[in-house]
Amino acid sequence: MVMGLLPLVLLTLSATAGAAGGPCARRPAALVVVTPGMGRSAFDPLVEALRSAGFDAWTAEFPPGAPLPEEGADHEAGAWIRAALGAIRRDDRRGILVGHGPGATLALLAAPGAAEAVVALGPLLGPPDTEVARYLATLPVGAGSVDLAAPLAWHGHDVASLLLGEPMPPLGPLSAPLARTWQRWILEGPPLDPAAVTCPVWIAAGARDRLAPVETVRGPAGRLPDATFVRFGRLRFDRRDPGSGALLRERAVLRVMTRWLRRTLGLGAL
Amino acid sequence: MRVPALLLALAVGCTRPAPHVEEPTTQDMDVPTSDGAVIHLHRHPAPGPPVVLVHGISSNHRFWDLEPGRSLASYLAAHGFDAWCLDLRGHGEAREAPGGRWLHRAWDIDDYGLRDAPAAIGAIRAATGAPRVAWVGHSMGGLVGAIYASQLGDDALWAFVAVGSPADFTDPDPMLRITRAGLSLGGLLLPVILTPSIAGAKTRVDSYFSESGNMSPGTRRRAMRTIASPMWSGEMSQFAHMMRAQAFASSGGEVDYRAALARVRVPALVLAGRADQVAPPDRVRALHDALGSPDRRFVVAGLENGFSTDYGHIDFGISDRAEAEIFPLVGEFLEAHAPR
Repeated sequence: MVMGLLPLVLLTLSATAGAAGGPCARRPAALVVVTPGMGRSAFDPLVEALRSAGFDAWTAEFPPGAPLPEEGADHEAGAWIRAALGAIRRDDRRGILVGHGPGATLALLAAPGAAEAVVALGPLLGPPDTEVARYLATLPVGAGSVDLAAPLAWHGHDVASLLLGEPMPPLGPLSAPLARTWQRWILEGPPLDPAAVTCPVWIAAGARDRLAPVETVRGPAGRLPDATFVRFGRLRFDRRDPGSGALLRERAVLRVMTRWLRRTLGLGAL
Repeated sequence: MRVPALLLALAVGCTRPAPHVEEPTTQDMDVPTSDGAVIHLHRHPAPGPPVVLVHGISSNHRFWDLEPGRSLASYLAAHGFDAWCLDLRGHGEAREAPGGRWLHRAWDIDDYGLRDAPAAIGAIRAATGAPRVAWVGHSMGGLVGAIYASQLGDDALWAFVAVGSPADFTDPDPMLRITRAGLSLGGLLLPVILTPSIAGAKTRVDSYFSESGNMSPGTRRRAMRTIASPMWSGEMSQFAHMMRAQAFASSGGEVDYRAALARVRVPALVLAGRADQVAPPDRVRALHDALGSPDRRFVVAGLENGFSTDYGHIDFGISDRAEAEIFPLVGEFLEAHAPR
């Protein structure tokens, strides 16, 4: 159920009614940043896990036509996310931000002074340093939006499948300014000041994440003042090494995430 | 729950490496070390600059020289490099050790870096007349080269290649915590863990070392029978110590090798495998990042970098695609940095 739009029609905010009966003023607010270019349904298991853990879970989507500027689109998007988090908080608590991939990076950009905690699933914290990413950075991006669902081949692989792995999340249009922003992140890394993110941050890395490879996440994660880093995969006796997309729905990830959130926010065990 | 490989390896018997049929041009040499041990060098001679290839823990020189099509040594020799495969003390053909081979904690990884490595490099320089040697090490073999170069200087090296060599032991993953416990116990109680027999079996254990599908079951069995060597108590104890201290350090903890790597300036290639469960890419990248080399390169062998598969820990040397993908990468790096 779409609950409303921010005044400038920038972000689509949604709160999905569930078994608990919809948003509740007494629950801490959790804003899930839907990764631009990905379908919201990919985030359903994550939202449900947050609701089941006692959070008033909302999603924020960037419409493909969102009027982001060419320069500083990432900081502007971060400002919108901050505003959205402010709009959904119901009490003195700041609320938490949750994001995946580049969406997690946007959440971290938005976090300083706004969020009580951040969950970052496979965030881009530096240049991904892969050949396929460098290939993507060279592709021309026109005006309007880029359709991420369109087939794109590289070395015999479908790029989206390679980067996101199984299960493949639904993809759609991505606004051109954000597409160009991500191309810049691939080459230079995101403009994230780790020291500014002083709230607790929980970072999940998938051992087969090719969008944000673990070797490009773990080092920068250590420079965040209060970060907890967890690698998911066979090295922690998980059934398999998750890719980027699997971080959104693997039970082990969601279980450890909600446990960390409740402990960090002083909510106690369920 | 999977049982860690190192614990399973406790229950087995020892065999020598399988017979190795070589082309007649190869040469073998025993070399004494400064403390009375003996190391072994197996050479594929060629007129070009020398390269020493070094195995990892519980392995031997055959890791880099298994058979035609799975031999970096042959590949490099065919491309003009004078390739020397090293058996560190207690491994493969290097059977002599001070105090006896079976003495508990008779030596450790420090000895490999500070005694075996200079002995090998000295012998190769003497035999060839070349002033410098390139070091190619797999797993512990890369760490041995790092210890050597950081402590004794890199003047005698013209290139350094580390393959699946982790230099970051912080925040151990659950599997590594259990491995640490196994190594601590093994290093405390046993002079050696004998691994070859179990290594020939198809178990979940070897999926820890090799990505499924990267070699046929027959190749895997043959390779594991051939390259698996005893794991000595001093190796176990030092790795357990590094995991406890969460540092790439000397066995007494007094030397921080990772910090000392800033002194290493030789051109370096550091290679990691996306599917490597023993030395995951982030822990290997720490070695690359710690090096002081102005000319250094880090590559993760995985699909996202154009490789045909994700490489596991032992896949770099002996998997079906290693000759097509890994050996040329190493060869081209060496070619680009070879002394003229």
